[in-house]
Amino acid sequence: MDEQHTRARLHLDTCPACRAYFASLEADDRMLGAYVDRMYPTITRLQNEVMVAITGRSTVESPWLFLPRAMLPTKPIVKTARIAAVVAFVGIGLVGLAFLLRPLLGPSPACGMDRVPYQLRRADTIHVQGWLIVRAPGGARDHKFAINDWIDLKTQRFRTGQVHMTRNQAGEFIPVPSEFVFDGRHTMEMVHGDVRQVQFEVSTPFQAKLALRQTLEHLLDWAQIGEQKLTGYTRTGHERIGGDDCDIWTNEYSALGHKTMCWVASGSGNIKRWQWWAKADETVPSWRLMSTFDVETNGTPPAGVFDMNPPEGMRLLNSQAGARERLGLEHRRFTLEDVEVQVATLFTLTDGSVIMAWRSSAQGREDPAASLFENLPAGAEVPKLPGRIVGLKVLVGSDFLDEADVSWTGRHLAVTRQAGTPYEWSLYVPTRDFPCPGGTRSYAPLVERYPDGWQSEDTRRSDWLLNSFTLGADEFEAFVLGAMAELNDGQAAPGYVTGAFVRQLVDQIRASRKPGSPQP
Amino acid sequence: MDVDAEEKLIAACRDGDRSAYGDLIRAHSGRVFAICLGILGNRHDAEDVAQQALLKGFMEIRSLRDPDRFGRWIAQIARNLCLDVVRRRKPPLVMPSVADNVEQVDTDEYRRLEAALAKLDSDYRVPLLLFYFEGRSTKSIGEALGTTQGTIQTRLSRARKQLRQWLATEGDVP
Repeated sequence: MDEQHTRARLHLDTCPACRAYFASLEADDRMLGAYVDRMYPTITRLQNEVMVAITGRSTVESPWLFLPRAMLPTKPIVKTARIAAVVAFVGIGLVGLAFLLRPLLGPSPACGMDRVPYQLRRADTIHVQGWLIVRAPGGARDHKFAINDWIDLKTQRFRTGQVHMTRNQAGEFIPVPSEFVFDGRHTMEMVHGDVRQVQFEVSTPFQAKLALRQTLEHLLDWAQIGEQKLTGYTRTGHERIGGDDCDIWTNEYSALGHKTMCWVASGSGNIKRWQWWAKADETVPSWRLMSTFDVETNGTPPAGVFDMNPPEGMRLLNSQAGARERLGLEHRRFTLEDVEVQVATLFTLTDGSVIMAWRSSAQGREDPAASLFENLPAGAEVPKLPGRIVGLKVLVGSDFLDEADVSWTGRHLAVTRQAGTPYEWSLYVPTRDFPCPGGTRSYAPLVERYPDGWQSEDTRRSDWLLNSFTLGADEFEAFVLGAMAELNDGQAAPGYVTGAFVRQLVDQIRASRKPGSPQP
Repeated sequence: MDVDAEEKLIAACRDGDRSAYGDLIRAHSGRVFAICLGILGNRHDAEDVAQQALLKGFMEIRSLRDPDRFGRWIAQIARNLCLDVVRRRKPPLVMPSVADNVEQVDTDEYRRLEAALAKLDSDYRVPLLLFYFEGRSTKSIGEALGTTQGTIQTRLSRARKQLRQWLATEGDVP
């Protein structure tokens, strides 16, 4: 090769034409090389986004979490920046962190931990107190935030916190903490950012009930102690906390460089302490405590903790008396060019089926909805609205990545109308047995645009994430029928929709998949 | 990355080690992106489809028959996805993004080069980008694209010539 190189050099010295050609190649190389260099940030971002979707953490940044915001205020005061498709939210106490800590599923749930979600759901009050360290992607320093959250399940009130990751004018990520106080009817959102401001929102009784339940499920999901997250815990020690003998349960997500530890009273199954540890650096094997909090159940909330008086010095965007009404049950919005699909709410049933309310509209198109729903029987194909959610898939990055063969087929269940807007209630049945004992599941919607039939099978974007908690055996009426009534001008669910009817429809849909079976 | 190391990473991915995939995509995302950019002609679509391809690669890694051919396999996934997009001729989903905020301000020269690249036929653009993104040999690019080394050399030469012509003209790329 050296000899060839030398001969080429000699030739170039004596041949002007080849020398000119070679010079032009060098110029091309410089120009295209510079172009490619400018693309590398894009490639690095691409790598990060893929790894965030798969593992919940980026390849080059400090681990952070990527999670849909809390369900409570539907329209946050702080406009949150989005990094490409991924939205970073960090929850203090009750929300956030779930993607980061998604466990890799093992063979079976640990004995003893399965009592924890049950005990928390039946508690009168839950108090969580501790701290959390937040590090923005690429951030130079850590931010430590106190956790001091109360959920009063008996009186339907709570006080929780949350941190948004957003960007400042210089493009740097900054954490913006906020707090939510809910008194059973009003939500007070306090943002403690550069601009400290307060906004009030008022809820209907059903919205309040749903928000409380969702808040509790967020806690379980975030702390990796819901039914869907218990796999992988092993007992690693024993300690006495506040007079209770506690087993220490540890779940290490080695691929992610994280672990959670739970101190659970061996007599009652009550969780007493929770910790989240992370490898300080990929190159350093030592663990660093990122968050810890103690959990107290059935304590008495201190006086004033649910007061709706804004602290002094905060800018008031409105007052409690002038609180804006919380509209509908808005959950998530998808856009396909001119077509918009909004998911109002969804619930997972214990057999793994999902009931979801959604609506769709298209700019500049006449609303075809009225005729679409005429004589549409339950079990029929999902109506051909401008955009329709024909099915659900496993979301990349969710716990069920290894269950990628499961999908959910949608069928019409019912329609409700609110202020002229029809809400389609669809029933999504898994393509194989996939029961859900409890906790939160995450789905990616299969959205189809009508009439061209173009489908988005977007299973990777966290902002297309649909979270749903699992209804208990006695909750169908309270939540499914309650939500139907909420989204119906008549304030009642369609009479034929009952738990038994839905179970029967699920069975029919499953049976119809067998070769030669009639459609339901 | 040598073949042995890559095979070990693939085996780890198949066993559920998601972080191992990070090492794999660090080695191959440049190629995937270059292919997508080459076929689709604009970086935003390319980034979107490249992301899909890399995720699809992870989801389907158990179906990879020859662990020493990951690069070609993921490249094929990317090409197929790009061709789907081209066939559908539908714009991507409208998603809010601040990605543009973090990118450098484009100079006129850069914009003209990008416009010229976008105008280039994808048969020329793909090998050109693979050549510069990956620093790959013409033989390797030929193998990746299922054609001969000679064809790649010809396409590279024509691509450069065409770019030079366009960029030599004043004003917008014709």
